[in-house]
Amino acid sequence: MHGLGISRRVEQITGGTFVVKPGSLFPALHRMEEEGWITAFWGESENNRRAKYYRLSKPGLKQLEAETKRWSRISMAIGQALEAS
Amino acid sequence: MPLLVKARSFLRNLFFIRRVDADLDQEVHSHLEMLIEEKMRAGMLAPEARRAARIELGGVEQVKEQVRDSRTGAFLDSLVQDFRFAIRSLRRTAGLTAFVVITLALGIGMTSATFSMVDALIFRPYPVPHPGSVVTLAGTAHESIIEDFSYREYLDIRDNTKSYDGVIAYADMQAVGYSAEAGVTPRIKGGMMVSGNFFRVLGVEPRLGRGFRPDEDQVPGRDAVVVLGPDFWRHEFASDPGVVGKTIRLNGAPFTVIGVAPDEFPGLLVFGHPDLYMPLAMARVFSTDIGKNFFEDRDDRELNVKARLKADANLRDARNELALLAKGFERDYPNVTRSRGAAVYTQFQTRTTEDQNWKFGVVFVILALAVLLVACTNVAGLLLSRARERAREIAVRLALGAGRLRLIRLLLTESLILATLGGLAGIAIGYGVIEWFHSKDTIIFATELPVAVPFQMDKRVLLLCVGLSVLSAFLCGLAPALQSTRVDLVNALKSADVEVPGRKRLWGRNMLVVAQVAMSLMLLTASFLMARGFQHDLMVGTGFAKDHLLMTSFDPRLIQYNATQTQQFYKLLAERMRETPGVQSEALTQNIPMGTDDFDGLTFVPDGFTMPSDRANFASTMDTIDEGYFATTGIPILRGRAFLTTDTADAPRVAIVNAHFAKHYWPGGDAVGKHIRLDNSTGVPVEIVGVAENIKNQTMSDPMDFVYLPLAQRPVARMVLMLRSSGDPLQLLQPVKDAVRSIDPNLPLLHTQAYEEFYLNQAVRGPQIAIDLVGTMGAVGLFLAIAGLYGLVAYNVSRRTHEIGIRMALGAVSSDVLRLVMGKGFVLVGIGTGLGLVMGFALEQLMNSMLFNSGGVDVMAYLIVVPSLFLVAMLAAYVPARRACRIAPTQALRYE
Repeated sequence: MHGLGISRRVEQITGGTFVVKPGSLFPALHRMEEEGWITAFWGESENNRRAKYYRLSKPGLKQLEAETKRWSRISMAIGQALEAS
Repeated sequence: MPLLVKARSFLRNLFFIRRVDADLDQEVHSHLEMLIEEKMRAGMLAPEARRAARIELGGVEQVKEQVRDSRTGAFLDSLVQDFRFAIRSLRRTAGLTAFVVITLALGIGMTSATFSMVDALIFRPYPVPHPGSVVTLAGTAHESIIEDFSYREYLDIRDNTKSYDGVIAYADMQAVGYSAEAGVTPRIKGGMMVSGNFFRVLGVEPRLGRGFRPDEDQVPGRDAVVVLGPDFWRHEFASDPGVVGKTIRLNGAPFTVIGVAPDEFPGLLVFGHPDLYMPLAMARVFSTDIGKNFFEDRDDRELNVKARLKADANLRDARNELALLAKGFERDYPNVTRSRGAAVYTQFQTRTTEDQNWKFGVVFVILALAVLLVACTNVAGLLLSRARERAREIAVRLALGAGRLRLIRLLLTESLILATLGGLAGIAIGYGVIEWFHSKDTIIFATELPVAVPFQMDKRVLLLCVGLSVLSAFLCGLAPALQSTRVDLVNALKSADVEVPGRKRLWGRNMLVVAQVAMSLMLLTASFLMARGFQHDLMVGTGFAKDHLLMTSFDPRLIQYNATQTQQFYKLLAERMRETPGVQSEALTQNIPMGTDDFDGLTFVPDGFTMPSDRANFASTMDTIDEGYFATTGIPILRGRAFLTTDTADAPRVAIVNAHFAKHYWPGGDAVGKHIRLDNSTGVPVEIVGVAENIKNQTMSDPMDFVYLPLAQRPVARMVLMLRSSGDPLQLLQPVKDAVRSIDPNLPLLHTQAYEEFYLNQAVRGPQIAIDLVGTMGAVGLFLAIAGLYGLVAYNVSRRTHEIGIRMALGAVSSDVLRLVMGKGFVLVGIGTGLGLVMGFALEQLMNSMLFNSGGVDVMAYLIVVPSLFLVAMLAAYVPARRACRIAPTQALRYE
């Protein structure tokens, strides 16, 4: 998926709650690429335009699982804390 | 794996940055294009869509910059930028840069050169594997805490301690007569007797042949084997690999070469590099003390003992173990070991105890550091005034959003580059100074033994240089960087002159002036004191004649004379010399005054003295002389008589003591006619027949107890012949040679020269080098201080031209202005002087207690130094103030 696609997809999934601006998107993508979590390649967009595509890599998948686990733990904890008060 | 990916990214960012950037550029642009397309699909017109897309993107360059900042190695990238920028801005002010670099180089070079002394004297590890585990085992006694052991004691220590992987012993390096084959006149080389396990325990592998076998150290006199030092092998045998197995002659006896020590091992001594290593078992060939039996007498203490601590042993246990052993010695051999203890020292403790010269090194380092500090304050002042000129540039940067930290980093990078250049130049200067030390080699050591100045630029000294560079970068860069980034943006942008009147602003520069004055004052007083201390040593008389004296040494052991033959030779020599025309008088002495060799020690009990229970005897230094000695050296006999030809071996034993000795043991009474007993209260009685004037026997310090014994009653092998000539002493050289040849053509003359020449090298030129060194540091310090002080004060005043213009316009007369400006300088220098006096006084006390014992305050130094600094400061304030007063107020007001 290319940068714009990712941005739009995030917007769509979260129902417009999260809008990722290019100023945050590109540094994040490049950092993840340097960490080896995603791989990048040039491809053709749906309108035959050259665009840089990103794909989740194997270590990236692992990292995603770990982060998801962490997040659900945190969100659960916060949820519980909020309920208790 | 992730690390590898990261490393690859890092390298890619570092080396293919252009490709990475182009890629980024394309990506962001394609993103923009797609955004525009999206907007147009949603029904916008092209220009409108383009605008909306750009707003959403937030600027192509900004996005790119954000990505760049988040990249791996972004820090390094900006550092490179800083570095490039700093180089550019330094190149623009080449003159200033050069001055700063030279200033720092002087400071760093001085410090590194003087530190190389301390390093060589204290810190440099033994040149053996795992030097840290090598400790020194030493005896302790009343007079000193680092004493040698005897051979018997060494054997007991070696066999009865459990803390060590091996205990070695070695005698001091001594003069050995070496000849490649029989019949050749021997030459003097430096030999060292070592225990059989010496090389094995130290872990030194000979580069050729082998070290000693354990059995070669068992039977006295059986195994005449020798290991050669690397330098000796190179010079005498031209690095011949076939040297092993050859026979050479040492002190006339044949020895078989079994090995050559490696280059990495020049020996354990700080100064000396032994040419030859012989086993202790061959001591009969080398022992100096004829009266004692090396292998049997427990009080024939000639051995240094070192040991390698076991990996699992600790120092405290080792100390207890040895102390216990020493107690045992005292119990079992009370006559020769009363109140002697033992101690274990680390390398640091050993080096700081056995030789006190390191203290000079430390004082030199302190002085050099003071020079460096003065240099740093100078540079800080310069950078500060430069930062002021750059204030506008910095204000612009800050206004454009540069972070303050980032700017401080940039400025520090600049000073770091300056300091690095200074450090490099400093290393060069350090090398130069060390080379200069080396060129004085022969002056510092007037001896025939292989010794050398050990100072060198090694790892530790270079490390110090680097450390000092970084430190001085921060010292002189931080304050200006902090101050110049704390500008009032609005004001700074409005005008070129950002001088904000305020105490805080001026405080920094005032501090610098004060620090500079204080530092240089301390430095100057210290170097004055040093120089005067050495000078004082040179001025006070030595108490004996030095001119018209020829000296030459003999050692008949070199050609295997026995004791009787030796005595016969000296008797004959003295007779012949007395008959030689041109010889006014003749003397034989074991040691010359102010010579390089240590005097023998004499243990005795003054007759009738009840000794305290914890000690068996007193000790004194002594010399063995013949009856011509006092007449030849001109040392006055105060009471009683000199030795006579009638004081023969069969006559009652006699001695002459010096005035210090007489006063020490018989205060108020007459020493002449009293007796001392040698060794202990039941020893041989010796009558004191004369009291001689005190002279400087060995050092320039206070007089010490001294006893003279006649050669006829105390035979010594190695003696120095001194001849008083009526003309040039060197004219006696040929007659002496002829006389010796007529007695025995094989006997070499050793170390022949005019005594005055020897004395100058030994006692005068050494201190002179120290005076030169200290003087140079003082001069450099003063020069830097004057330059810095003048610059700072003049700059401070010239910044006030504007203000002075206003004052003049408002009706002030020039004398008011001068008073104002000079008054300020006066106060600053005054504070600096106060501080400097306190610091200088403290340092002086330290130096007095460490080095000269002269006590008191050197008023002269202060009288010269203080006014001259005041003068410089006043002049520095006066010149710009005067100029400011002269210009018309209208001009001054416009002056920026």
